[in-house]
Formats: sequence, C-alpha cells, structure tokens
Amino acid sequence: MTAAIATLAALPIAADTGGGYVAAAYAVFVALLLVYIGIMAAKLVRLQRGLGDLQERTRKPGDDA
Amino acid sequence: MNESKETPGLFAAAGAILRKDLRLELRTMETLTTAAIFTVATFVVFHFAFDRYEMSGDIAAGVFWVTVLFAAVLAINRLLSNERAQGGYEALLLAPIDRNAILFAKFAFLFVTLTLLEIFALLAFALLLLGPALSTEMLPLAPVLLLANIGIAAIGTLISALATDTNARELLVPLMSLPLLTPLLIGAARASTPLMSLVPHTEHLDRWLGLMALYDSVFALLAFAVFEYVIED
Amino acid sequence: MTQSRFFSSRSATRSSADSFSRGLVGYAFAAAATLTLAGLLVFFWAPQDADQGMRQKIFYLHVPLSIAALCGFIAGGVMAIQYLRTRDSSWDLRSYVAIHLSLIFGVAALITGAIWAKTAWGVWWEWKEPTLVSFLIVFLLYAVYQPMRFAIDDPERQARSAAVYAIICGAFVPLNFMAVRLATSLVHPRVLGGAGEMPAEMRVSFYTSLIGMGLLWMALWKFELTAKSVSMRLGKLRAELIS
Repeated sequence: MTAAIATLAALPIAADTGGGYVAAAYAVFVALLLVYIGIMAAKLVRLQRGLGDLQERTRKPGDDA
Repeated sequence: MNESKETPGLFAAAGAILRKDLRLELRTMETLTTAAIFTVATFVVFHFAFDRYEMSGDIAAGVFWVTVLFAAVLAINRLLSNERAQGGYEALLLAPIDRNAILFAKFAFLFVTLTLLEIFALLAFALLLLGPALSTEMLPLAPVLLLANIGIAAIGTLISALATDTNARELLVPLMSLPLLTPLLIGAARASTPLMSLVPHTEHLDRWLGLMALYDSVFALLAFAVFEYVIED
Repeated sequence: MTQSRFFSSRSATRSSADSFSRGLVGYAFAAAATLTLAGLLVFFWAPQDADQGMRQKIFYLHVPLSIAALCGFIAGGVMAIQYLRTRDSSWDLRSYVAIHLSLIFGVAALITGAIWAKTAWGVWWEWKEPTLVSFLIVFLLYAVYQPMRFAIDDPERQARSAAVYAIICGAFVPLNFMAVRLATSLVHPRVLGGAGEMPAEMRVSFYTSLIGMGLLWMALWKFELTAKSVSMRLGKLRAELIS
C-alpha cells in the first residue's frame, strides 16, 4: 500500500502539474452533487410514503360505503 | 400617560427610553460592571497566553480589540433580553410610539455603554499590558473608538433584536456578531497598530477610518430601514 | 395549524407551486449540456497555463462555484426584500432555498479553494488570498441563517427575522470583500483574479463553466422549491383530511 502511494507520488505528472489535485477538486464537486441527489431521493421516498398514507386514508371511507 | 391625542415624537420617545435605560444601568451597573470585569479577566488571560508583561504594535492592538469585541458581544446579549425578561419589551411594543424610537434609544444606550467600557478598558490595558505609556500621540485613537462604537452599536442593536425572538439567544448573538463585526475589527485593529507601537504614530489612518465610516453608514442606514420589521408584532 | 403556516397557505396554492417548477426541466438539461461542454473545453481545448500547468484547471471549477454561491446569497437577500414588501411567503421560501443552496455551493467552493491553495502554494489555507478569506467570513455568517431561523417558533416571525438577516448579510458581502482586500497586503501576487489577461480559449472555457454553474444553481433551486412545495401541499392536504 505504502509502496503504491510512493509510486503514485513519484509519477511525474502528479508531482509536476498537480493533476491529482485537479482530479480531487472535480471529485469533490461530483461527490457533493451526488450527496445532494441522495438527500433529495430520501425526501422523495418520504413524500411517496406520505402520499401512500394519504391514499389509504381516502380509500377507507369509500370501502365502508 | 397623559390624554393628549398626539403620540410623543420620535426623539422624545427615544430620549425617554434612553433615560430609563441609563438610569437603570446607573443603579444596577449590570452591563458595565460585568463587561469591565470581563475585560480585565481577558487581559490576565492574554498575559498568560502570550507570556508577556508588555505588548505593543499589532499584538497590543489585536489583544485590545479582541477584548473589546467580546465585551461588546456581552453587552449586545443583554441589550434587549433585559427588557424581555421583565416584560418591558411587550410594553415597548404596545406603546404608541414610532418603532424607530426603540432603535435610536437602544443604539444610543449601546453606544454610551461601549464608550464608557472602552475608556475603562484602555486605562486598564495601559496599566496592565500596554508597552508605550498613554500620551497625546495616541489621541487619534478617539476617532477610531468613535467609528467602531457607531458600527458596533448599529449592528448590535439589529442583532439583539433578531436574537431576542429566538430560543438560542446566547449562542446566536456571538455567531451572528463576530462575522458582521470583522470588517470593523480589521479597520480598528489596523488603525490602532501604529498608535500602540513603541513610538506611537499614524499610518494609513485615513484609509482605515474611511473604511469604518463607510461600513458604519451602510449599517446605520440598513438598521433604520429594516428595524421595524424585526420588532413588528 | 400554526406549524402549517410556515408551510404557508399562500405558497401552497397551485399557481405559485406551478411557477416553482416552471422551466425546471429546461434548466436541468441546459445545465447538463453546458457543464459537459465546459468540461470538454477545459480539459481538451483550453491551453495549459504556462506557470501553473494542469493545476490551473481547478480555476474553472472553484471560481464559478464561488461566484454562483455569492450571487445566490445576494439573490436570497433580494428575495427577502421582496418578501418584506409583499408578505407573500412564497418569496420567503425562495429566499430560504437560495441561501440554503448557496451554502452547499459555498462548501464546494471552500473545499476546492483549499485544494487549490495546496497545489499552488503548498498549504491547505492561504490567509494572503483575500478572496478566499472573505469567502470564509461570508460563509460563516450565512451558516448561522438556518440555526437562527429554526430557533424561532412562530412561523410568521421566523420568515420576517430570516428576511431581515438575509438582507443584512446581503449588504455585508461586498463591504466585507472590500475590507478584507484592504487588509491583505497587496504585495502578494493575485492568482485567482485577472480574467482579463487570459488567452481567449481560457476565457471562453471559463465563461462556459460559469454559465453552466449558474444554470446548475437555477436547476437545483427550482428542483428544491418544487420538492418543498409538493411536500407542503401534501402536508396541507393531510391536515385538511384529518380535521
């Protein structure tokens, strides 16, 4: 593992131009976007559950009648 | 209450509230004593933190202004909560006066408190930590203190009104004040640095005073524009 | 019932809820297309920076993120003014979502800024870069917006105090930038600024990224507004059914 990191660090591209850092910066952006989508997905699921619950409630009186 | 149909004028009402606050403060000395004790305790802490007997230049200006800033946060915290705790706040809101009278009164009260506090803090600082002795060369500190106080009082009144409605006042007041007061701290500390150096002198004083004056005028106008919305009920 | 007033009755009407989602799909696809184009331009067309090489490519991400966040903060202030003028709580919701979203953009801007500082100057934080420092102060101020807002129980008062705070913060943003710029010794070479001196390819790539980021902000803002208003309408419907 440490050997792998050492080889990575020794790579001329990463050391000279900071390509790894650029990748990390863009990865942070994409990761945050994905986390945001995840949170919105959780909200959507909650919304769906609320809607289902409401649907149950509205159906019952109809069944009784 | 007299039976006159006319409600008291803006400045008459503000003056009445201010007089009430000052009288209350003079009797109890609640804000001033606690803030004064706080400044001395902070100087002691800074003495040990830096392990210094004397300070000058940027360190002195920094220690002085950080202490004043935190003491000001204490005062902002008390500004409207005292009223609230004793039911005076509701009475103020019920009174047939322009809401801006409350703003002016509280602004003036905070300004006076800060000025008295800073005079005390400066004397204590000179006695305990400041390297160069107080001299007439340090007189340009007066406009720095003045402009800092106007800004802190305007922002402090707004924040105190905002925070008094929340249930986390003690926490929110410092969190809201510190970033908002940072530009004033920059101006005040940078202007004070040469004045508190071993050979007091002025350097770029007009630049920092200009910055503080601009900041003060924007926030004074802003406070005037939005205050009625904060305390509307 | 009082709780449902924050999820306001007026913002939950069909017309304003529909206006939240108007253009959402368009913004989303425009953002996707522009950001993809920007990525292609940045990595395959814009020339390598003579001094900084590859690491300069963070510029195309970090600066648009910061600009989008700052514009979002100020837009939140303008929407707050609109709320105080009209008392239409849909403006309060717009302002709230704008600030909330800009905070997320702000986190991304701060992290990418730190990464840039690390690759350009070898440190994770650079006090000599006034734009970065100002941004942190602004971020700290706006980070208190939500705690302050939700520390108020009464929904109407909550909207009012939040609006006032958003206006104060909006005015603070430019002044703070000025103060920090003045405080930073101007000896330090400016790296983040100076878009005017860039070669045309770099400038085109940068503006494409900026537009893409703006479109993304708009899309996410509309997305969240729509989601919030749908869940409010659902809550209102439930309250009506139960009572």
